[in-house]
Amino acid sequence: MPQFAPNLVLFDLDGTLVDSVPDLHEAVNRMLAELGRPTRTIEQVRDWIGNGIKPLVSCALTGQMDGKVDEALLDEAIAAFDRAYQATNGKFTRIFPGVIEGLEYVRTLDIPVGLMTNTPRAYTEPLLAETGLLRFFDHVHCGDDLPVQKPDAGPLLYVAGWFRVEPTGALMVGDSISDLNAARAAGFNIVCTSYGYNHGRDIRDYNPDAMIDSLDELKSLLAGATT
Amino acid sequence: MKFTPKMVLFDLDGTLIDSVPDLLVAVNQMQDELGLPHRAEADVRNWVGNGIERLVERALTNDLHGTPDAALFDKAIPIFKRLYAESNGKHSCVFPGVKEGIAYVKSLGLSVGCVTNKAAAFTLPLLKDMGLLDSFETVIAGDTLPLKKPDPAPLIYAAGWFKVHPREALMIGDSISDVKAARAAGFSIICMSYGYNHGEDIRNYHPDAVIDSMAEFPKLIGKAS
Repeated sequence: MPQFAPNLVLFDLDGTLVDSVPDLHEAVNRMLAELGRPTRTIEQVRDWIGNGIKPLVSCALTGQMDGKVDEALLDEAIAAFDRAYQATNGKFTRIFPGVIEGLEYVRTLDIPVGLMTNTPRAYTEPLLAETGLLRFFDHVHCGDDLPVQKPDAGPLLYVAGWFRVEPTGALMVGDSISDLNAARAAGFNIVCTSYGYNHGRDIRDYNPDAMIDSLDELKSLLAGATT
Repeated sequence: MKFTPKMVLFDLDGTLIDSVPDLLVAVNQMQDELGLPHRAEADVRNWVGNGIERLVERALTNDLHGTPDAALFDKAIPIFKRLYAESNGKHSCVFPGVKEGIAYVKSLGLSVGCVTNKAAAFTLPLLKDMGLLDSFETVIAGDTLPLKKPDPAPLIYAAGWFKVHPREALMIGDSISDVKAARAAGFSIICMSYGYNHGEDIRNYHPDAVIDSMAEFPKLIGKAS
């Protein structure tokens, strides 16, 4: 028995559809090398992503989740990271197992499907093009499209408005506490992937409406909207 | 031209419609049923703008910042809702200049919506009774979304609805709640000087402009080039 019959499905990108950590890790270390700082491991980078570029660069500089960084240094580091990431973006990324099957299934449901990421458009569009995922989405919402980002409800509500659906009938599929909090605040249901980033913490602790190990499981979880 | 938006959202109470007369009648009928004293129109005028629940709390305590006994509040709320459903639209009036102002922005080809914290069950009959319902392509009521003004959520949802960026959007309101929501959403904000802002001058919160009548729109709002 399917659990959800949504009027709209939005997918987070990093940690949900793709593992872009290898790209980010390579860019982080190129940035750190340029600034004469120690490099970081891929596991560290994995714990620092999910909230956008600025927090990632800040963590990479300090080696800590909540380290404080001088604003001038942070600006310089972000610029260096931007240059490095433009070169690495999409080059080492892999699509998680089951993602294509899950997206193909959702496309058969006759409901709008969107991408919902905090990553800026300048990085998102090349990545979607490089990975061939762009074709699945009616609308791509990026981190710099609005003055607010996840975990604020704003981006999810903007896209619910875009498709003129009630947010309480919509579904978010993500991997992090940021996706979960945004979904809850917007009134969306939230399904989380067990393999995502979420700062090294288990997303189950935050009680999403459902947990899946692969997007392939959307086939049994989602049905078409009831009319 | 100072503002060249693609979309204009209007607040309802205190911006389009003076709904205090209806609310005053319902408040005092509720006070009668509860054996409590009547409240003054001038006070009720300062208490509106944060939804019916806050209004009832303020009326029961006769205090803008008051919180009544929970049992009294639970008893009062259904009484007020029943009475307000009766008085809603009976004594209210559309502020001068509103119909001309809406007609003007529509003549520019702009998208027009209404965003209010009032529940849909009160909002839609009121707009209909005042002859304004057909003016709006969408109405976002207080219970349309899980979040209300001053959260930017309803404004952002409406921007999505019309597929415009918030920086191309203009809010017309009267209160601190409208200014905060507009700022957080990235909208421009024009306030009406005549509205309800808990007795405080809305100029203190620095909206982008303050006007006395929507008949002034042609001086401020134009078509994007």
